[in-house]
Amino acid sequence: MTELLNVTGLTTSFHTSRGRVQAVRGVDLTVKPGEILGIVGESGSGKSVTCMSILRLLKRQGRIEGGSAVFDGRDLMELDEDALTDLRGNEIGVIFQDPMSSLNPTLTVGEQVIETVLRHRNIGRRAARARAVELFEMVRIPSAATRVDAYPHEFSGGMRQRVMIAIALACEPKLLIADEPTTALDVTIQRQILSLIKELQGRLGMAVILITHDLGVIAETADRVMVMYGGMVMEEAPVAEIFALPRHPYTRGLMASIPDPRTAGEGRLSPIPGTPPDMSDPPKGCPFAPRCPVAMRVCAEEMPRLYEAGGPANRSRCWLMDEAAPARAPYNTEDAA
Amino acid sequence: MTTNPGTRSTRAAGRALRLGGSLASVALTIAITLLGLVALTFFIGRIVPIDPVLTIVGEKAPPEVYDRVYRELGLDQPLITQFLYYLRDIARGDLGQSYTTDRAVLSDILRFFPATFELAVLGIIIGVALGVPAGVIAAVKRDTWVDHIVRIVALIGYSVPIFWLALMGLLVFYAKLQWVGGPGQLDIGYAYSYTRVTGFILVDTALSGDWAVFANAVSHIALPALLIGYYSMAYISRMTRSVMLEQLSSEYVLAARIKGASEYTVVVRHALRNAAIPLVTIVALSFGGLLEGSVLIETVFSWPGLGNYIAQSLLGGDMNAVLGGTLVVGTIFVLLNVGSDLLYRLLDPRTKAAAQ
Repeated sequence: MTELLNVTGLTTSFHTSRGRVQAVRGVDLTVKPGEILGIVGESGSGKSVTCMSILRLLKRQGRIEGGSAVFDGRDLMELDEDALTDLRGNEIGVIFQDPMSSLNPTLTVGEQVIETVLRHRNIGRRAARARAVELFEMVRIPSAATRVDAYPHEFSGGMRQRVMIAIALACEPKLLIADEPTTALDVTIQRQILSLIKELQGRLGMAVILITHDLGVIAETADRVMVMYGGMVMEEAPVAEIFALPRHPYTRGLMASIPDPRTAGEGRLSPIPGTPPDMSDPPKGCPFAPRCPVAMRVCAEEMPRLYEAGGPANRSRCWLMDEAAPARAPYNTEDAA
Repeated sequence: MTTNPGTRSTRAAGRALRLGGSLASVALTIAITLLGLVALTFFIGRIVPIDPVLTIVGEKAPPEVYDRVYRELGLDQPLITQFLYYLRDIARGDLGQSYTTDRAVLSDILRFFPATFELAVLGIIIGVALGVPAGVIAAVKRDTWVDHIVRIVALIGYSVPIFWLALMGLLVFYAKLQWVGGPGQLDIGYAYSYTRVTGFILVDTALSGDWAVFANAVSHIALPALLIGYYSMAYISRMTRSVMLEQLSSEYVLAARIKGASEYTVVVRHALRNAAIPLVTIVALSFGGLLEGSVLIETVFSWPGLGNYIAQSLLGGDMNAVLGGTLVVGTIFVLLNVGSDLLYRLLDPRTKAAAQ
């Protein structure tokens, strides 16, 4: 199956008064049509910047310093601004974390859907409005026909996120980027929004990149997971496999730090000690080495490559995957599971 | 949705009630603020070390004349009684007599105010027409040479004394180049060739039907209006730039870009629309500042305006005129504030419901 999105060697830095912050350091990722790729990592791991770089919508100080992102046969890094704006909101839709601030407070919610439709479809206002009502019904906003004329402040957080989804899906994109779509919402609403995204993904057959720091969200929603740390891909695997056998010490650390309902009450949660590296002066070797419980001397000195680990779709950036590494359960031996 | 007529009329009644309620609360706000203003001008009038009796009778008046005037002015009464009389007089539109012009202060103010108002209107039109676009462009082109030019031009408007600019303007454009008329509203020769109807020189000279007079009035008002316009443009462009920068970095602007909106749509339809809400207040207050009359501009250009009148009265120790002028200026400020507040509520959907 050919890929919908193929990113290679993506490198992005922010030039701030404190110097150059290397937010993304050579990320490769692929998304196949119709699949859900979960990107997981702590804040500052570069997951959001990766996606904003793909859309070429970085903050002022941000610079894409290298790499390519081929989407549906076109390299997004080479496209001119006109072609890019034709693509954004049309072939790629985006949902943000905070639906409170991502809607324009002075325009009705319907208007914010209509303007997206009018921008990309050659139809009249009346048809665009009908489309907005249809989208509101699709994301299950009650009494859609009257609610299109309401303002964002008249909506709850969950309802606003539904509006954002309606906007993102207005032109039936091939790819939906959902950047922490449930983080700012109540727990009960989170579940509704996630299942809505999953349901619509199935119905519209689009691919989804789901960015989150919540492994539970990944387990429920994604087909494949990519774990990011220090602006790099640390591990990548199909979702069932990564939960059965996480290979990278960082992934293990992440899993140990979330409560597991099956083992609730037995044993304590163990958060990963230490803090993520300062990306204006990243470590020479593996970025996780200073916090890694099984770090070796080589880890601090040389960057490990992404090893194939356990299958053609599984990759892990860890020296333990190297053939010269000592066999160390439960990290790099199959009997660990 | 189906709405039965019953709930619709209930809603209409509710809306009418809210409208009445909000109008009443606005009126109450105005009343309280104005009362505070009157109290303030009254007590300033009692505190300043200017003896109103001496201003009237002069230094050499015999003590019995002084005492008679003292009693006539009611200064022997307790303060609170004096304040009540003051309130009563103001309610009647009586701001007292001006000792220097020997006319009622109110009629003086009504005479001088139009000249100031005319300059202020022209100034604010120039300020908004140039300042808002300049601020928007500076924000969009942040840290480029366009931004630097806008900021330097604004900085000069901010920091160079306006009377110096006025004098230089007269020197260059009047004395040397003779592009504009000199001080005053008209050349002496035209002074009696029109009838005062509205008090606005451009309107009155246009009404006279004599285009030579009108052209002369234009040549006289051009320089002071441009200077005041430049001054308010400096302020408005700076404020517009900072408000726009804030909006442009907001999440919903990023969301608009993600929809594929063009740069024009992002800037005008999304960012400027939100920036307009605080800008209304900024423009209203700077217009208020201009209405108070730029004393320096009016002095340099011998412009018969309110600022000039208040300044002259102050120098002559004419407290009635000064306090009357202050009261009028303060009232205008209060009304502009209320006006901008109402406009603000209409522009911002989050508060719109309360205003309707």
